[in-house]
Amino acid sequence: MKIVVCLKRVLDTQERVEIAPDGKRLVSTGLDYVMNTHDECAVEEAIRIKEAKGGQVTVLSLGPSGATETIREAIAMGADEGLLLEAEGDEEAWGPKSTASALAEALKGLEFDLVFFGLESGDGSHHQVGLAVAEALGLPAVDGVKKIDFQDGKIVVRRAVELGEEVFELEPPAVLTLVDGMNRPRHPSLRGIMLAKRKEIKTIKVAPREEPLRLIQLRKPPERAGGEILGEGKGAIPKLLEKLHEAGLVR
Amino acid sequence: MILTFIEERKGAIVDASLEALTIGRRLAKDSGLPLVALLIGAELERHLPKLREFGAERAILVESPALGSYSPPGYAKALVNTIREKGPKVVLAGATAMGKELLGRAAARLERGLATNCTELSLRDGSLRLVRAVWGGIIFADVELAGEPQLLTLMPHAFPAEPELNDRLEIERLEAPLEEADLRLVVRELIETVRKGVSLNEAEVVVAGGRGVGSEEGFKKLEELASLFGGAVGATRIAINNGWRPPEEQIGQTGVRVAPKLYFACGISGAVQHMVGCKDAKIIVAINKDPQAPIFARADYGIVGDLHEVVPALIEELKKAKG
Repeated sequence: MKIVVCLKRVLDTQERVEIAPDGKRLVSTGLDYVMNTHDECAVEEAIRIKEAKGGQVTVLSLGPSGATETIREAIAMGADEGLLLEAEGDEEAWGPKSTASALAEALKGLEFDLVFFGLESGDGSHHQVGLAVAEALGLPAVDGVKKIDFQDGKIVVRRAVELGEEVFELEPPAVLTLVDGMNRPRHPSLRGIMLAKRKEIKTIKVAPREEPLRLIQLRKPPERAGGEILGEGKGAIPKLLEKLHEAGLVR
Repeated sequence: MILTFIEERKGAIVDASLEALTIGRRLAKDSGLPLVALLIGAELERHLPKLREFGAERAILVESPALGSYSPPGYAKALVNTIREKGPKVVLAGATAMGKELLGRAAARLERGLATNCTELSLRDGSLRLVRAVWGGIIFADVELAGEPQLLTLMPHAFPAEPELNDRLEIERLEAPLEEADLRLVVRELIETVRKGVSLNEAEVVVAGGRGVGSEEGFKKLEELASLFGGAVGATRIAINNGWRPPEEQIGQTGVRVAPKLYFACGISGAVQHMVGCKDAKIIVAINKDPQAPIFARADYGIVGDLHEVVPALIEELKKAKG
């Protein structure tokens, strides 16, 4: 089974979230880039399938030259090959339309049975690139997959919906977008890290197209106002119960 | 027209679609355009009373036995065909699994822009100003879409669903030009989640735990506290990553968002990535050992102390009060 995993590096906002003065991006100084959470699960899933059934895992990423590091992380986990679509121009010029069309174009030149995406990116959160690529390539796609099984040459997937899970059956080649939580991504082995370091990452330069979605500005959502410390330890419980009683939450 | 995609699940219109209808109605009034509801599937007439109740002026029904089970490409074809024939200015859907998927496919097929997960929208000088939740909701983005139709999905719970009766609903039927290839991908089965108690989304009381809970075992007391309120247990990303709780209980940036009446944050520091998932709770009670924890600046009521002492004592008091 040949699988291409499309992944994105995103700014690690665990430490700090600060909007740049131009209002168009977050301040990245001093912060790391990490593999998008959903994509990390997609890489893990692809490697597990390779380990179970044989085949090859290729990772494809669009981003600045620094994104080769994220591709190397996936190779260190166990992916075989990496291809970077080096994004020309300002990073903010790359919206979902440009990204999807560059990825679809690159995928036309690759051999695959399955293409995996993470459900959505942790930054732009557009939730449309995987679907747009599937549409551009005319491939069947299931969005939000949390479980993949192989049965008699068919792929049976479960996807998360509000009420539970929907089951679909499809045949390769196909596109699946996968969700965080479906597996626990492994840490790269030392050997994997060494291998990834030496790996040649092919690079193709790509240019953005016009995006219909225009960003005016980023801003922080209004925060909750702070409240009242009722006290320390068990001693504060009577006061809490009183407050909850006033709110009609306890008798 | 303002076209609103209406999603049906288990024979009823979902709340996210009623929210979309409500916001669509406001947009229709502001712009002078008609509010049109689009239903795709089989046996659709049973939903017409609900559309009247929520003020739709026209209903477009794309009905076919072949659409009785959800088919992503089949429904996308029906949606795209309707958009092509009717030329709406705006197309709205709730940002549910189905709504996100269908509008994503439609945007690709029509080569139009799509603003997903909108939390606010307003009409200014004839153009739509939108606010999207980005970075998993910890940042808002003010955005604009070029071209028509403008495709939007609306974040569930971001807009209220308010009825306003319109008993002169016009009904129009459209054919879906379905081919075999459009129906190759059809949902085989819907496996509904079986829960012990109430779901995290619907729970009026949520008891959430973070790093401070310390273990899978530690969550037992949180479960007990939740059950006293008929509520549900949630967890932070750290608690999930440690394997203390299942992934579907994650609250926050990469998890679910809840808006209960009462939210207990136990051993949770209150990082923005978590707070985005619970900030709409009516009352937040924080229990944390660290008086400097940011959660105390965001919670309505704070108790500085070890949750392993405070939670069991609270359980005892609640039991006593219940008698």
